Amino acid sequence: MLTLAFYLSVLTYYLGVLVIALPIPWYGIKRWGPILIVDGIKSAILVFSFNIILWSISYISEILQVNWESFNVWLASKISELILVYTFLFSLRSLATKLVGGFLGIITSPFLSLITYSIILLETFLIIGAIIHNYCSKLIALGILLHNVPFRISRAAGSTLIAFAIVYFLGLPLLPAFIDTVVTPLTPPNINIDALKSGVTYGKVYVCDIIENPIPYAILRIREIHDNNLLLALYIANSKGIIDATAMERGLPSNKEFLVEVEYLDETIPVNPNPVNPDHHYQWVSKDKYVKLKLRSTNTIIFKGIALIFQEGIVVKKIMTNSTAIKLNITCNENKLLKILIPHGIKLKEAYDNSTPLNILSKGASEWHGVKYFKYHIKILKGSHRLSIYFDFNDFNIDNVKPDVNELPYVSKLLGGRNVIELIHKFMAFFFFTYFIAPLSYFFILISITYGLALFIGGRRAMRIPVRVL
Amino acid sequence: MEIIDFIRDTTIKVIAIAWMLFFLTWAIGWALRGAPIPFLRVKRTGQGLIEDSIWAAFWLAMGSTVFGLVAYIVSTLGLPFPAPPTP
Repeated sequence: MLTLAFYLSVLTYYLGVLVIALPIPWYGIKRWGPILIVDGIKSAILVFSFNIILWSISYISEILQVNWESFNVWLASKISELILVYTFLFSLRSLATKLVGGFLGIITSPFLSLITYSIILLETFLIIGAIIHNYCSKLIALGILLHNVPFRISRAAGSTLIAFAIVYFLGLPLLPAFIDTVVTPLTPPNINIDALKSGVTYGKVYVCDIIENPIPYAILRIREIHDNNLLLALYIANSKGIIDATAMERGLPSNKEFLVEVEYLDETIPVNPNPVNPDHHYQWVSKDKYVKLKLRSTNTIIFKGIALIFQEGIVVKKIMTNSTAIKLNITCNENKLLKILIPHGIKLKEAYDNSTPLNILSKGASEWHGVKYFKYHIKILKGSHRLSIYFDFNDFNIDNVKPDVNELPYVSKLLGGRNVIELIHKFMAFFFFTYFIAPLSYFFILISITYGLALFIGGRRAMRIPVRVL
Repeated sequence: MEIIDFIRDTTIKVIAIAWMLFFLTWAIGWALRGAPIPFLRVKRTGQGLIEDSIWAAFWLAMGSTVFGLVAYIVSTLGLPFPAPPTP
């Protein structure tokens, strides 16, 4: 290629001489003679400078610390990140569409398109980079050849090719440094990618006592089985003992077992099943399109907000209730303890075992997240008993037992405690700027530098499109 | 190699034509200069043709020297660069 370029430069020179030697006294033609002679000499200089050009490129790349391997690795990692974000958004959209309608699709669709364009742009950089890295010297040689064609026919194209090879060989691997300089790094949130990958499901949790009465305003804590019982979510049931985890930022774990902790009036109530296995314990409600989880206490009876907690070993045979009293037939084979937790506003009037007043061991007042209550410890002797407990409800309202504690929804916790929509917006703006706007701007910067260098190599006249012939 | 041979042959033909044109232009130039045509413009044209033909002959003869000089200068400049400064 260089040999051909050299011969073309010689041909250009002698064509220039021939034009000067023409017996035509017409200046319009004759002025091409000196131009062609000079072009021939310049082209010959360019041909002999091929090695100098290559040395200069490697010298400058060492100064600028250009590293093609790290550039390729950086590009590949960014493309993988974008694919991960795309997958997450796509699954979030398809998951939420079932429950909250199509509005999330309207928000996420343009973001999915943006991510697609960004991936395409970065892949294009990867391909251009591979071409430049492997064929840089060939491109320069081809550029010199095109530059040397007589009468400046392809001089602009040749200069542009030479400039393109030089500028992109030196400039393209500096894209990561450019993005680091231009883009302010976003504070990385605590996104639990593994948990997101393991899946989220939406549904309702029913917290109830032994006889399937709801436990109102119970606190449900969801914890990891391993990893030091890390808290995954905290929900508060409503007055009917139902936890609605169907909203987008709430949800329940779907692919892994987890521990549950039910708390009512500062008492941890053991429930069944525990640990919860989503595959076995979630019931799919096809009509409503969400899952249902029932957590049933093993030792507690709830009566209008009052909790009766039986020590293990007490067997409840019969329960009767009316508006102000509860009657229980129980047996136990040893002396056991019965705890009665009474919210403030309710008074314990009387308590009998058959006709005998109950043996109250201790009585105390306490507070649970802003809810005042009384705690009674009652000794139950070995044998059968018929308990009758009478209460005075006054103007007690079940809403009085609502604890003053902040919920920690599951998906919100996975996303670092942020609002889902706001997080999506923030991240998409960041990703769009970092992976689309910034690389594209850099690409155009390199193009303008290429143009400037091509003008320098080829001359201003060479770059102009000829509108007038001689 | 065909195209290289073609370019080389074309170059040789152009050189031969250039020498012939030099002689032709030189003769036409002198003929116009010495002709009994009472127009100064014609004589100036003849003078111009003579000068152009001499210049053409000069550059024709200097062709190989020019390219040799270019090759020598560029190869001299093409000595290895010193090591780049390390940060």
